[in-house]
Amino acid sequence: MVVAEAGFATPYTEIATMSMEPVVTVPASEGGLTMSVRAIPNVDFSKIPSELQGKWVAVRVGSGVQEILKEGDTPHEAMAGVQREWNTILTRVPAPIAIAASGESDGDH
Amino acid sequence: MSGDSLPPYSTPIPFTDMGRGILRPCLYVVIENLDQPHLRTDPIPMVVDTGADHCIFARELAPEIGINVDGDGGRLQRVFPLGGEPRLIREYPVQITIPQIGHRFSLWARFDSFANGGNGVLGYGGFLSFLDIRFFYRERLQILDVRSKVTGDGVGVGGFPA
Repeated sequence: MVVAEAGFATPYTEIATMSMEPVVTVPASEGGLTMSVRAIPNVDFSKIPSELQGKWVAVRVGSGVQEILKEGDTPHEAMAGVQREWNTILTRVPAPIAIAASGESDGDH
Repeated sequence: MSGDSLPPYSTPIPFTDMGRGILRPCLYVVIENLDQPHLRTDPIPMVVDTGADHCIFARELAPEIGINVDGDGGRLQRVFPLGGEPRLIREYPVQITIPQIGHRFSLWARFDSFANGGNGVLGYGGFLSFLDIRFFYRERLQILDVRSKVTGDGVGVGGFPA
């Protein structure tokens, strides 16, 4: 992969003085929440049925496959009774992304 | 490990297919309540938003980790949203874990509504301020360069001002 043939550095614009809180960054292996580095496959929203848009869903993602385990109106409903495994994820199914004539999307943020 | 720094390493993560040809840089995030560490979410895909000042999570996720966004917990902050009026919003101390890189970050999190059903955004304060991410839109992937300073002072709670 060719990253760049020429680089330009443009500093960010400082909007306001933001307090830089000293945040502790600790690998999960250092304690507390024990979670190893996992290559969890990305959920593919294009394969989630459109009738679930707006719902929360528990999805099991795997290499090349994904399985919707449960749906609900809240995260709690979607995860209730679901057997949690390392590749079980929780997400809300995004509303339809409108495509304007120019090809631009109406991003959600 | 106190005072040491992890050697830098890089993790490539493909963009997430949102459907209809839209690709977004997302990372899985496990959110944990610092006041009730046994309460945490399952991995949730969040959009990395380099233009966002803070990390904001979907309001519906707060009860999952025991946070009552209608109560008087957390701390009040005045926010100045782009295109909106200044308003007060509460922030709560949480830890987020990115299982794809095995790192945890302590931060003040905001919970708000997302009009189009998003799960949340990972912004500058508490996340991008401590992690370098390169975006390769043509290759449809992001590369996380992890070289954050690691401390041995404990997990999280020491990171917040009194």
